[in-house]
Amino acid sequence: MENRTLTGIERHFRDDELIVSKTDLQGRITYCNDVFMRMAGYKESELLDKPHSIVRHPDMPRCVFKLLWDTIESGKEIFAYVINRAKNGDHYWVFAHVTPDIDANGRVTGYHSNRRTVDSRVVPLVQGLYAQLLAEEARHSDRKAGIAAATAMLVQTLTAKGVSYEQFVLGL
Amino acid sequence: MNSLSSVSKAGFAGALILVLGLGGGVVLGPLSRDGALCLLIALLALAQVYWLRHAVRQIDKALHALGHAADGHLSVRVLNISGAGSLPAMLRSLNRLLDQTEAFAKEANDAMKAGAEGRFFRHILSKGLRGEFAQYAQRVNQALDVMADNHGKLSVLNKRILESSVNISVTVNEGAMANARITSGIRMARDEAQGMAAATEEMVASVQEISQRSEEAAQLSSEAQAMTEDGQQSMNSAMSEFQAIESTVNDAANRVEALSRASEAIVEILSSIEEIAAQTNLLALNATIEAARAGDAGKGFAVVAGEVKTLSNQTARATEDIGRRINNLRNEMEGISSSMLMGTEAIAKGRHAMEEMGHRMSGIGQLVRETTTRMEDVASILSQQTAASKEISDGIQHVAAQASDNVEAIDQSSGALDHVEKQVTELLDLLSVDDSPERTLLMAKVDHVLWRRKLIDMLVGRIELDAETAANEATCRLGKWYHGPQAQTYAGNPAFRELAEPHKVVHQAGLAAIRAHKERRPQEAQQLFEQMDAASSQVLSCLDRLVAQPA
Repeated sequence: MENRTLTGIERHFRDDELIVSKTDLQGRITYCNDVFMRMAGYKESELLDKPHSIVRHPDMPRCVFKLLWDTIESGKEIFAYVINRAKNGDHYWVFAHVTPDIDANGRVTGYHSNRRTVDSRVVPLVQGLYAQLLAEEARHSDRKAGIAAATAMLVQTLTAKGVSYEQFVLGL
Repeated sequence: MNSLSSVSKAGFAGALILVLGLGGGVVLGPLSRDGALCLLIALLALAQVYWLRHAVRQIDKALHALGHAADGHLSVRVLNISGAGSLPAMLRSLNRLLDQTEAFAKEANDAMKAGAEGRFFRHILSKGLRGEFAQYAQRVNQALDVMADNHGKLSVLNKRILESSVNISVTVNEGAMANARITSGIRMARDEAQGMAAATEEMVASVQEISQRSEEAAQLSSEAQAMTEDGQQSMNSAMSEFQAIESTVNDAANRVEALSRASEAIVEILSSIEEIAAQTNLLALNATIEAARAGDAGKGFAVVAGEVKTLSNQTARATEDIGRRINNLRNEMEGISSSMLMGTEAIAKGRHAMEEMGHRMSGIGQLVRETTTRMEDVASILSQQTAASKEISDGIQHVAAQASDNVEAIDQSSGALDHVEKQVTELLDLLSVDDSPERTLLMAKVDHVLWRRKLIDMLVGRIELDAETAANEATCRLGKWYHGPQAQTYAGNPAFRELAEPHKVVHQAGLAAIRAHKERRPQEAQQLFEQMDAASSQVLSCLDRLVAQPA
């Protein structure tokens, strides 16, 4: 996060690759695979124990992360299109699947995420939606109110289409 | 670390060489050529030992991770891999293997979980999975598609069964409601019939009583007739007696008159005798005078003249006496005659009265005869009536018994319907596990028919209801759905908007009917129920329209 600049350059990974990471319950990275390190441009030692938001991109609406955390904390899986920021300011789109890691006693011990490549056809659709949500968040001086308003906007958009969030993201 | 492993043995050999090298160096002297060689060997051995220890640590990491993975804990990974040799490459491959395995396992798990919840569109994302993992993923996805297809068919089937069950439930409840209404009617009919049976039994008793009384009356009037006839006979014989008396009295009167006429003739004779006696007396007086004048010669004659004078005086006195007596007799006879006249008149009056009475008695006799005939007719009719009313009474008792049988039959039928309804409700519970709007709408139909039925059962006295615990328009299944987020897709349908008002009436009028029933205002309860009933039909029609045309 030390470098907030953006290069506008998009990075890509292969369709047969997975970006994998694991976090503890607080969202601190406990594992990241080599594709992660390559795409994010960090060394393992720079990532372990750091918050996952280290790769957060400013174009990501906060309400999407709120939905993500609310969902996985309730023990359910979630899919989300996410734009991430590499260490040097490059960006890369991923289709993230996040699930809780559950131990033999059924306790959630952390979270696991696999990211896949995003169809270039989908990127502009998601970008458009995220831009609207971001704008809605920005209209409110209070961050929480902004997130709530943007969440409401997302729910409204989905209701109008008559689909659930899951059907929506998997159907893109 | 396993002491028998080849790496350990290599380490052990290195350490041995190190010790031997160091020992050789010290013994031969570090400055000697051999000693220096020994020390060099020892140095190399040291490097080998260090490298081997590092390799062992890497292998231990791999062992640790593999051990967990072998136990099925796929979230383990090897961290802090450094370097580019074959061991780090092995560890990276191990992580990639675990990444692939865990990704496949989690995907398969989540897709199956979603499938179990009917979300078959959640496939395994095969992108990023490699080789057989990708192949297996595709195969699982094919299976999910088949399952989705089957589920779709099953859903259609399930929906049809649900619809049929809802229709059965509605029909059964309609039947039960009809039964409840019939039961109520038949109960009333039974009660009426029983009341009538009791009344007709009383009537039969009364008719029998009357019949008995009229028979007694007929008996009495025929006795009266006999007595009247006796009376007439007696009267007739009294009349003939009277006539006999009358003729005897008339006869006596005629004789007294004849006697009276005879005594008048005697009176005439007596006045002739009185005249003769007076002339005789005059003659005697003249003879005396003549005798006196004749003196002595006439003395004898004077005696005879005296004698004649005494005789004529005696005759005059006797005649006077007879006259007096005859007068007395005539007076007596006049008394008798007048008495007889009065007697005759009295007898005539009596006879007249007798005749009158005889006449009247004959009239009475006629009337009594007629009365008797009529009383006999009445008695006969009444006896027929008794038989007829007995038949009526028997018939009504039969009707009452049949009505009781009907009540029992209807109760049995109601019981059977209750049983069917319970089974249908169980079936509906089984079929309506998912809460799709369509099912909610179908179940809402059942809910509202049941609500109607409960109210009817309450009105006919089969059950008691409590207004406080009954659902209202916001808490019933339909109400919850109507005001919830799921209903929003229906908001554009006119039937959806039309539903609100009758649904409110269904609950409010129903609850008011329960209260009115509880407070014993049956007419009001009935009226409120009819309001509810009309609104309920509208609700059902709206629900049907919503099911037929969802949006």
